[in-house]
Amino acid sequence: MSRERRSGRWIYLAAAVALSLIAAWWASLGDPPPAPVRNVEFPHRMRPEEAARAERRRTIHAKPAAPAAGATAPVEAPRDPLLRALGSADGGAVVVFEANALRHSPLGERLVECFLRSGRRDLDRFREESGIDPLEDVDRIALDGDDVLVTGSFGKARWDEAEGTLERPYGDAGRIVSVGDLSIAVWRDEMFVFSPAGTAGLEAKIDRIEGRTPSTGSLSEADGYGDAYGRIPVESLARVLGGEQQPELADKLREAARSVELHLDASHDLAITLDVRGEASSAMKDLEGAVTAAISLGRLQAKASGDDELAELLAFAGVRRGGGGFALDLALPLELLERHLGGICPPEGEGEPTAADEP
Amino acid sequence: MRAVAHVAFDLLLEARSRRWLLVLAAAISLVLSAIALFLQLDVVDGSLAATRLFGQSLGADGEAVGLALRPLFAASAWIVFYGGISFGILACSDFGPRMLSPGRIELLLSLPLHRVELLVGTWLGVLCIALLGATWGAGGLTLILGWKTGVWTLGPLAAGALACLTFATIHAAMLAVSLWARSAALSAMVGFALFFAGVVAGYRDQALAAFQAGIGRELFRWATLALPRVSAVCRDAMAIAGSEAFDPVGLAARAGAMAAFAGAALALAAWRFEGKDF
Repeated sequence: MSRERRSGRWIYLAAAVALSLIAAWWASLGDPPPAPVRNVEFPHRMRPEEAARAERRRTIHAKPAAPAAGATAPVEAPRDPLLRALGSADGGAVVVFEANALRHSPLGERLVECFLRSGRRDLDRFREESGIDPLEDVDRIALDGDDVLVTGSFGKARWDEAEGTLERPYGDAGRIVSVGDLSIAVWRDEMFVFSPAGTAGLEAKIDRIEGRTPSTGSLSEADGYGDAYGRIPVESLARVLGGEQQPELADKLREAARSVELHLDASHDLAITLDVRGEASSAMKDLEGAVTAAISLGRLQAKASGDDELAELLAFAGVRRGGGGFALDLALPLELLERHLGGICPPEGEGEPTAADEP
Repeated sequence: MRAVAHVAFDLLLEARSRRWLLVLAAAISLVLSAIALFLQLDVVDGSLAATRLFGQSLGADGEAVGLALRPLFAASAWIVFYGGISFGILACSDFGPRMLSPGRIELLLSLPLHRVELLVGTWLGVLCIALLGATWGAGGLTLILGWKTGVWTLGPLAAGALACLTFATIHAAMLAVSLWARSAALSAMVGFALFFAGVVAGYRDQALAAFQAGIGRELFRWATLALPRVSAVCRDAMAIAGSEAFDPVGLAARAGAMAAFAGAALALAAWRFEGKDF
C-alpha cells in the first residue's frame, strides 16, 4: 500500500465523524419537541426544618415505671404527645396530616378559596359557636384506625357552653367532655380525640399520652417528615395497586411486603412516596420488578392510546431501591391539579358574569 | 464519476443472475397482476359504486373514490417500505463480501479505479436495484389504481423513494461492516439490527417516556441520537401515499439525517478500505 494513500485516508475518518454529528443534529431536528423536564422533590428523608419541628414537638416525658430493687429506671427521651398516642389495636392505617402546612400550600390555598366562596357563613358560625378557627387553630389531624386526633391551639375553645355538657378530669392534664352520646377527650387545650370506642377508648389514649401505658411505637419522630406521613396496611395498598386488573401484582405485594410507609409533600406539586419494606428476598426483588414494569407499561399504553394526562402523571412515577425494600414515587403536578380544580371551581374573576354579559 | 457509474452498472448486470432478485421481481409482478385482474372498482360520478377483491366486497361502496383509496395507498406504502427493506437486506447482503472475495478484489484493484470509486459504485448499484424494485412495485400500483379509478397520485412513488433512501442508509452500514468481516451473514445481521434499532429510534420520544430518569434513559437518548428514524419515515411515507397531512420540515430533517448517516458509514468504509491490504 502506498504511503500517500495511507496518510490520506484519515480524511475519511474525519468525514465519518463530522457526518455522524450532522446526522445526529438533523435527526433531532425532526424529532417531536421533548416534554418539558421538571423536577419533583419527593419526600425521601427528613429535611432540617422538619427535624427542628419534630424537636419542638417533643414536649412530654413518660412517667418512669417503678424500677426493680437495685436497678436504674430507663429514661425515655421526651416524646411528641400526638405520636405517643398513635397506634391502633386493629392494625389499621395510621396517617398524620400536617393540616396547617397543607392549608397554606398552593393547593390548600386554592381549595380554601374555593370552599370559602360558598361556605364562609357556615365557617363564621362555627368559629363563633366553638371558639375554634379550623383554618388557623388546627395544626395536625391524625387518623389512627377509627380514631381521629386533632392537635392545635384550642385555648379559646368553648367545650362546656353547649347545653347538657358534662366534663370530668382524667389523668394529669386530660378531660373527658360529653354532650349526649358524643364524647371527646381534651388534653392540655392542645389536642382533642374522637373515638368510636367511647370513653374507654378516650381514656386509653390519655393514658398512652401520659405514659401510664406503653406507646406502640407505630410512628416515631424520625418518621414525621412531609406534609402527611404514616403507615398504611399492606392489604390496603394491594387493593389499590393490584385491583382486579393486576391480581398478580397484589399477590406479590402481600407475599413480600411487611410494612408500607407513606410520605406526602404538597409544598409545590403533590409528591407521594410509598416506602415498601420487607425482608430482602427474591420475592421483594420480583415485586420491585413488577411495579417498575407496571409503571413502564402504563406509560406506553397511555402514550399509545393518546391519554396524555395519564402519560404525564406516569412520567413522574418511579421506583427507587432502598435498604430492605423500595420506594414508589408518584406525583400530581400542580398545573394538572389546578386544571382539574379550575373545572369545578374557577379562580376568582374567571367564569363570573361580566358587564358585557348582562342583558 | 464515470468509473463509479461503470461499477454500479456491472453490479446491475451481476444482479440479473441473482435468484433472490428474480424472485423479488416475480413476487412484485404477481401481486400487481393479482390486483389488476381481481380488484374490481366501479366508479360512478367520482364515487365507488362497488368494490370487489377476489369476488368479496371491500365495504367501501358509496364513498368518494379519492377518500376510499387513501387507506389502500397507505397500506401499500407500509408494505413497500417494510417489505422492500427487509427483502433488500436479505437479497443484497452479499454484494459487499462478494466484491471483497479473494481473486475478485485483486482483479478489481488492478483496474484503473480508486478504491473509493469501487465502494461508492457498489453502493450506488445496490441503490439502483432498490430504486428499480420500488419503481416497479409502487409505480405499477399507481398505474393499476389510476387506470381502474381515474385517481392519479404520485404518493406511492414518493413512498417508494423514501423506502429506497432508508434502505440505502442501512446498506451503507452493511457495506462498511463487510470491510471488517467478509461475511454475508454478519452483513445481513448488522442490516437487520440497524433496521430494528431505526424502528425503535422512530418512536424515541415514546420510548424515552417509558424510561425512568437516570443513566439508562440518558444512555438510550445518546445511543439513538444519530440512528435513522426508520419508523418515523415510514409514517411519513404512509401519510404521503394516503394524501394525509405530514410535517414536511420534519421529513426533510429525517431524510437529511439519513443521507448524512449513509455518508458517514461510507466514509468509515472508505477509511477502512484505503488502509486494508489484499
